[in-house]
Amino acid sequence: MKTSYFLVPFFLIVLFANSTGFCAGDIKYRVVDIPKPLLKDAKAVVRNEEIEVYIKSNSDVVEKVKYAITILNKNGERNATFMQPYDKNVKVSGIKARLYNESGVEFKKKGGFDVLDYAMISEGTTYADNRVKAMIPEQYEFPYTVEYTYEVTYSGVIQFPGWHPVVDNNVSIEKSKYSLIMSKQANCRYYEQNIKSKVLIEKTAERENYTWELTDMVALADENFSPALFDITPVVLIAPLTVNVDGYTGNFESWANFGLWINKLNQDRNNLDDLTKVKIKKMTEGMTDDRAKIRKLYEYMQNKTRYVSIQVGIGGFQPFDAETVDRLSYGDCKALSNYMKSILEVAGISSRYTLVLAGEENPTIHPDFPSNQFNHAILCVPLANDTVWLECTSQRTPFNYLGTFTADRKVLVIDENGGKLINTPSLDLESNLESRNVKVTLDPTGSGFVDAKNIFRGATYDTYIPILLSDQADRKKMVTRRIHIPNFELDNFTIQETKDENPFVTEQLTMTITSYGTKVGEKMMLCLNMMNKLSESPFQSESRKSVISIKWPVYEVDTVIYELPKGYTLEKIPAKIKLQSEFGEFTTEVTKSGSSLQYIRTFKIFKAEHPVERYDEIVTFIDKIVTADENKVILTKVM
Amino acid sequence: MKKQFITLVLLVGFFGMAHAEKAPIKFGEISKAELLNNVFAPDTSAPAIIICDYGYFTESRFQTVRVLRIKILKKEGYDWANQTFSTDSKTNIRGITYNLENNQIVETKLKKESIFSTRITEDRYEMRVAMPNVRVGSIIDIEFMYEGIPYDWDFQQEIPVVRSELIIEPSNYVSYNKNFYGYIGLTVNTGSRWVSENVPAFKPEPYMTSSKNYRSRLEFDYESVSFPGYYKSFTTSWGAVRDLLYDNTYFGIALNADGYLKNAAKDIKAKTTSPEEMIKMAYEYTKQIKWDQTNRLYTDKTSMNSSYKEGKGNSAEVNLALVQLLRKLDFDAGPVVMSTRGNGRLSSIRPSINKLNYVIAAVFTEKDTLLLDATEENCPYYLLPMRALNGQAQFIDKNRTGWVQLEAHKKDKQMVVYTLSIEDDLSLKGKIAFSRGDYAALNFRNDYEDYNSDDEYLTSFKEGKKGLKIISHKIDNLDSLYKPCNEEFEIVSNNSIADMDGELYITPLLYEQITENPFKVTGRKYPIDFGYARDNTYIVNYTFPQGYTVVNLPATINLKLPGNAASFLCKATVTEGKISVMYKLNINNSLIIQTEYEGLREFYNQIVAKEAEPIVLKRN
Repeated sequence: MKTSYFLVPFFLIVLFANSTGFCAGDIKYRVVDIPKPLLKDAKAVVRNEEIEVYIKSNSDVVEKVKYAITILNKNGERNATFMQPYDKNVKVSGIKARLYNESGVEFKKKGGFDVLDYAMISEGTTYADNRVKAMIPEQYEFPYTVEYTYEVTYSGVIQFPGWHPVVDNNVSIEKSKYSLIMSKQANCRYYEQNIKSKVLIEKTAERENYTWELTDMVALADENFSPALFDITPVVLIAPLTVNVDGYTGNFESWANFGLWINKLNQDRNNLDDLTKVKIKKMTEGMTDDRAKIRKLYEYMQNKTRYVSIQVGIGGFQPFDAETVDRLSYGDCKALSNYMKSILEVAGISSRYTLVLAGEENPTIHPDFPSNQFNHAILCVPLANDTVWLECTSQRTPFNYLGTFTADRKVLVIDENGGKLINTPSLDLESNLESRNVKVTLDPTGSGFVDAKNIFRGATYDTYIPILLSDQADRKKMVTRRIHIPNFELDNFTIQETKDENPFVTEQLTMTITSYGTKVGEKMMLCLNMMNKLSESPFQSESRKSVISIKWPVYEVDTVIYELPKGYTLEKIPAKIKLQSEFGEFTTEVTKSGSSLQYIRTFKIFKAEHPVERYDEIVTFIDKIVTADENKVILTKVM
Repeated sequence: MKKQFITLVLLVGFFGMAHAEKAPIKFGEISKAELLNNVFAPDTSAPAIIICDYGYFTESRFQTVRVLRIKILKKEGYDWANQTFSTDSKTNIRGITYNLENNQIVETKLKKESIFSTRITEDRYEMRVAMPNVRVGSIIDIEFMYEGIPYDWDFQQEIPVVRSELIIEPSNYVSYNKNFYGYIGLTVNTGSRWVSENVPAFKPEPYMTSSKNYRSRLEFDYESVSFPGYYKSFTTSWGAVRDLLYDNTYFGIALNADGYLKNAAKDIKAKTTSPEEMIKMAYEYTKQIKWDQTNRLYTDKTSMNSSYKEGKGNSAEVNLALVQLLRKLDFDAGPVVMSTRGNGRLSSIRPSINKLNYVIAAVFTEKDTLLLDATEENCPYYLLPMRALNGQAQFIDKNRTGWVQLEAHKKDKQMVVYTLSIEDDLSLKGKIAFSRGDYAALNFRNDYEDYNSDDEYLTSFKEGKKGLKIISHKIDNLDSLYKPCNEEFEIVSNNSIADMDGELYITPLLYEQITENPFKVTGRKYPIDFGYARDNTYIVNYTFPQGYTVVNLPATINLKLPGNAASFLCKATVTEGKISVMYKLNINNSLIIQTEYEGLREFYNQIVAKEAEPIVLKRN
């Protein structure tokens, strides 16, 4: 690090001498020059970005970048940081930074501007051999501008640097330009998304040049239920047609071929020692049903292994062999999926190694651009009549259950003929049902007792998992915190998990409630929706910009039965409520029988993507529900 | 420093004493019974337990060997099979996983392939081990060693610890200080051997200071090292700590170099003669060094002059520069060394230098002692930020040392006034005004900075406020730190009034109502620490149209916790066409001990119930 520190001034001198148009007094990046609309909702403005990617050959790519960003306030601080991961295939060099004040005058960073070097280990990762080069301006007076120039070279990678001009919410773009220079020796493809200005193409005998540009793009505020940023902003992806990574050659012109390349990496990694093979065969001896066999072996694998993230070797794409996983009893997603596949193979069941872009946000991959767009591996087992999906990194996931992490998206299923995109099952309305059956007994002071039996399925089962993972003391606290009743004491609770293919959790609660009914003179005021209020709308913004994207449907059914306090009655039964829209449905109904009152609430939100024009309607719909959930009734004394 | 010890100690190593205690475990020697026992009766829900955590410091080798034996009881406990040790060099680690197969003990040794060493920065390594072949029922033994005595020893962990034992061989050459923290005592506590047995899992609670104050643990400091012809003392007393700090390049030496402040001092003296004004000016002047968000006892630079030039610095640089300027202004001022809230409390019994991680400034005026921390941009000089409110600290200057109390002298002061009229369409129209002082103002100013625009702030402000429409919004004194920060909204609120059988119901506090008891979890093991006192007043005024009579108002209530630790008042009045309700919530003691938890919980129960009481108007 010291060496580079001393070399920087020298390089700067050389650079100054060679650049023709440069003079020390140049005024650049004045803040007043930023077009007004770009300041709205912005914490930073990209003033100028110039990326030049020169693909000399598929194993020799040079990316030259100049990037200037004006940081408007302290929220933009992290956007001022330069960060470039590197490893043995990706080298970064010539990093330089310059700072400009509000009026565009260059100033020196006090204390010097060092290039920092870190190990890149994210939380939950045990080992990774990537490192990162970084620069941090550490300026505390806003606004200011930082301009970086640097160069990255790539060799033996399967993904080339593309163009993602919009990297963050609340950052606007004054100008961003991306040029791709492809020499005759190279063979690459590009993929465009949300591109409004057409690509400029120049072709010569030696090379092809492609240029994309974006100007004056306003900042996007972070909006609830909006699609991922990269799904709604301009993106250009570049991928090689043929690859050679550490001697593993491949051709990515189709998903089939991409899969064949993965097969090469995984080849001969399915060996298990004879003792293990005998053990596996013995376990499934006499079993005739394949599904039952898979389930048994899956549970065996879950009991035997644990997930440990270790990102090494062939760009992090090659799994440890099955024998190693068997010996260590751990592995990452690739190693465990490959291990499970090898186990099934011994039992005579063929399965498919599967790549997926995992995450609850459900990001979309580009199906017509075969390239590495994945971050996780699972296993797909085709059976005669249906398909079983196995998540191999969890010791507790139910058999054939994917959950919000990997369900409902396109995944690459790989067999001996290569890869194929297939959809994983979706979590439909019914499979997400969350239901409550609550019995309440009230005394004349408005206090009383509650018995509740609540069932959580699908996406709501997923949110319950952290509780299932906790010990008894923490469970009690976590269950308590999920209950939103003004004053209560959780007297007793049980949690039961039913781990079949449509898993669910049953939660039984007994509570003592205090002053739930509010005395109003001789009367008592009561909120009938006791345990499941939609207490706030996620849509508060006055000016919505992005589409409303509901990825996971919601389905709730609540039944609350009140045994009314002695001497009290409800004279007027509230009218039924029925709200119906394209977004969902909401109903409530109150019925009386003798001294008891029954309140039934149903709430549905459909999986859908709604255009921004419908925003006001959805706001109104949700606001009505928020209001209805607060509805109260007045109990009067029996005369 | 440690390297030096080793050479010295090795020279005379043969004086080392043999120790009489039998080791509770030996690495690699386990019993079948331990493997067979898969239920931990005292806590059947524990995912894993520590069977034994044993540390032994050998004087002759100047080395501590730690053996850790963990039993995995549930799949949820697999994480305990992955361990991370942070070291300044690559350490020796041994490990074995034991399983019972066909009633035979099967060993799997930890090999290099499962030990990952990563250079995090220039001189810091992280050793991560992933123990092989782990399943439910496995026992894991891990042994590793490091130079010297441990900095601290945890007797309590996030899982139950059946036995934890630390032995530090008595040494003629090294002496150390120790401080014990925690609620669960030790079963053996001699001068060199500490044992705990059957310690339950530690569970953090909300509104609690650092878990380091409550978890059972020992912290160590070198007191002195002595050999024939060599003696060095470290933390025998706070005086000794002071001497160490004042001799340190990054504390005392840096503090001495204050020539650069000559002009700044002259300017301030020319502007005012009032001590209070001078302190304020010195404090605001020091803020030119922007805090870089790191808490430090030592400066990074050798002179604060460079911190000024760079316009940034760590907390030590900011606050030592403040001490310098105050001294230049002829104040009796000096550094106060301390431990931040997140780092746990300083022991009042024995001095510790390892525990210190922060420094602020103290100035003695004729009237009183003022503690100052100039790191927070939005703090006026008389507020200490939350991280500095942590028990007590040591004032150290060249001639004196002594305790100072790190208490908040100011409160979270907030006054909220609603002035609304009930319209014919049953909407509410009018103003909502907030006046925030001291900690409430600091918190508001800090929060408001996190928004990129007023629009963004308003969007977030509306969250959870049903039916609120904001017509206009303004904030006064956002940048005038020495004035209360005032905020005013002109609003319309829809759906806030329920019309039931010709009667209008309004919950008076509208958007300020506490709808849920913040202490809904029953039972409490550790004190509730709010940091500072609260003084919050809410006044709601509703004017209502002619033709209505008031039939119900919240009844007056006046609640007090014992010793007036907290109080709540609610009072409603009606005059011609106007209802006024006042709610006043004061938390007078920032610390409430756990035995008073149930009382506090009940106090909030009553507040929640009271605030739910509606105003009811009847059409005539």
